[in-house]
Amino acid sequence: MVKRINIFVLSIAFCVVLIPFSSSANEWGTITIPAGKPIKIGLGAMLTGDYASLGIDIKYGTEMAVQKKGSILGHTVVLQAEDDGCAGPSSVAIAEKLCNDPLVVGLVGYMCSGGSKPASDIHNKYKVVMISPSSTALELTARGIPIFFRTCWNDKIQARRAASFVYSRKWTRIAVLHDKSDYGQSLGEDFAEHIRAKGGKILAIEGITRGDKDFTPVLTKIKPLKPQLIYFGGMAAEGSLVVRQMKRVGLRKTHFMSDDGCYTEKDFIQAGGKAANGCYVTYAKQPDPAWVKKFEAKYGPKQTFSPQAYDAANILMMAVEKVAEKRPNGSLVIGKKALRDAVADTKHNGITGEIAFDTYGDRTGSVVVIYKVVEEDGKRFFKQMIF
Amino acid sequence: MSYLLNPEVIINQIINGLTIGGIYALMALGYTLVYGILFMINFAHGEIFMFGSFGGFAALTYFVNSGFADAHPGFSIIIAFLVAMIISSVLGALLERIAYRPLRNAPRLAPLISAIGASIFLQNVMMLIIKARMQVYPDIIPEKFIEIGGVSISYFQIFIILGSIFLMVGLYLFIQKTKTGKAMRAVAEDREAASLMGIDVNRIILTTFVIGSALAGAAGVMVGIYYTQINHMMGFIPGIKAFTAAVLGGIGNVAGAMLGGFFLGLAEAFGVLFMPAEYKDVIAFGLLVLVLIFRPRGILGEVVSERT
Repeated sequence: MVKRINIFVLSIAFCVVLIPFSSSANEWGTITIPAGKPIKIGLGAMLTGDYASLGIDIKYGTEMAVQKKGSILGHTVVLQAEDDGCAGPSSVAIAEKLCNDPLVVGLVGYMCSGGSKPASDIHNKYKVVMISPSSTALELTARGIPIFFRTCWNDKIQARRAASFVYSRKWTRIAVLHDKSDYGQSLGEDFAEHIRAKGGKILAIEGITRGDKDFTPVLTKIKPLKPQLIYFGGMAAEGSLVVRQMKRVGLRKTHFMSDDGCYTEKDFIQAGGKAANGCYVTYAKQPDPAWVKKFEAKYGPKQTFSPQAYDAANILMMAVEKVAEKRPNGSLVIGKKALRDAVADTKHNGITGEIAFDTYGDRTGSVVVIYKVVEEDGKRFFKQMIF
Repeated sequence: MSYLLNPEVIINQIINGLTIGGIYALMALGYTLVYGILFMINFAHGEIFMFGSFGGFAALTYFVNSGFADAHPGFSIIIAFLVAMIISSVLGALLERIAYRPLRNAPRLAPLISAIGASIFLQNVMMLIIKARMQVYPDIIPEKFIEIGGVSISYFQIFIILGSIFLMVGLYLFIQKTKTGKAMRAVAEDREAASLMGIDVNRIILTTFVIGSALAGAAGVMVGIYYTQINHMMGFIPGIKAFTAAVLGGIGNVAGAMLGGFFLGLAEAFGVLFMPAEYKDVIAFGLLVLVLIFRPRGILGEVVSERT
């Protein structure tokens, strides 16, 4: 009996000594990549459907970074791209799948704020780092999730910037449309708040449904209010229809302004036709032109977030390279907490400019620029406004 | 709310409602024709509409690339309509032959499930063809507008309203005045008796599918020209709305489907004035629920005796 108690006490003592030792180094656990196995970088974006050009663009940007890197410490790096449909439920399913894949070290994504928000809870459960190139909703970084980072801006900056531009143009009668998503609605409401704070008048805030094609009823409703500007929080598929149908219901002198979701040549300028001319959108500064040239030679015209995705993938891979330890048997061991800290400490001069993260995971010093769709010499493109 | 009763707004909303209503009505006819004869809901009808739209898109894109569209814009649109109607008819006929005819004497649920399966199958076929990207109809004819005071009417809207009415009148005359139309009515009345009178029931059913599908194909091109964006899922919501329209008007009743389509379009356009715009779909499906509760046979529907 005495002997058994002794063993029991001993084992408890042993555990007490061991627990703090193990937790100090890897309290979140580790990822082990066995010898000869690849390192997987996850990706969650809409690859089929109405906003697929945005998602495929993100995939190309990530793929380019991964292919350029090739391998880390003798392990090839591969991209595992998943189609998250820009929506919560499928993003959560993909998050569960990728976080439980022992070879996945981290993820670029998710594309839409509505997907990133629920998926970040799953990633937080498994402590797998995610870097979104395109989810701009403010609350994503305000929820105290340590593993979420983004290489884009947040909508507080975007809405404020858009509102000050509108104010500088002396447009004070404003109508706001949004697509009821986490992204579009919060952006539209933020914008409205900034306009009100500046003394402008918000005539209406109306929601539309993603995937709907007929917005003439709501535009007809807005028309007698005589707005000087319609601000749209949402994506290009609906945005390009709104500009076309504004002309149709007779809102021909009203200006149109939207967000980064509409900064795509294919789905906004081309899909909007002539009606897109003169519209304003907000987006980042132009990325490194040398990179754009290389990208476009390989994949064709850049759409929106491929530069941010390229930087996100690079940051993730650099952090892996920094913290991975090679074992004698050829396997790699990566501490999840160490990886997260390495990403948080990033100081990287990327193609979208200097990148560092604040304590919330937001990028410091991001700049949002106003663009206008113009037609010059038969070519229609986004022209940067001096503002 | 006073601005909502502004006559300009009301006239504009009538035009908006009639435009989308015309499209709903054309599609609703396909549901109603098939239901009238077979007592089944062809849930793949939205996909027939979608294939028609893509057929028109392929034709128009070809004409734009070959330069033909610049010289003869009107003629290319007519051909696009014909191509779409032919593709849709062929697809409708194939569906009838492959997915529905073998189940004609099966319990009622079997063809319904077969229709849902066909619908999912066709969506995925198109998704693989177009790589799941949204496609944009080329702007062949620049959109022009009539403006009277604050009322703005697009020529496209007039074209869709008149075009859909023209097709509906054509269908009505076909059913009422031709021999085939008479046979269709006879089959709808009593299939066995019609076949005893020497009517080839299989041929009439096939004809019904062909006609309903051709109308859906025409609606597909109208949607493409008017809304410009098409994708492989585009048939789903309009399909359900058109089904709602058919039920509203009284399913199985041809005039009812037309009325139901326009009624639903107007209800959506005017509903937005009194409610936030995000409730547009709620209005349509709320109406469906109300009709099913209070007048299950629809506005113009007659009580049909249940057949087994």
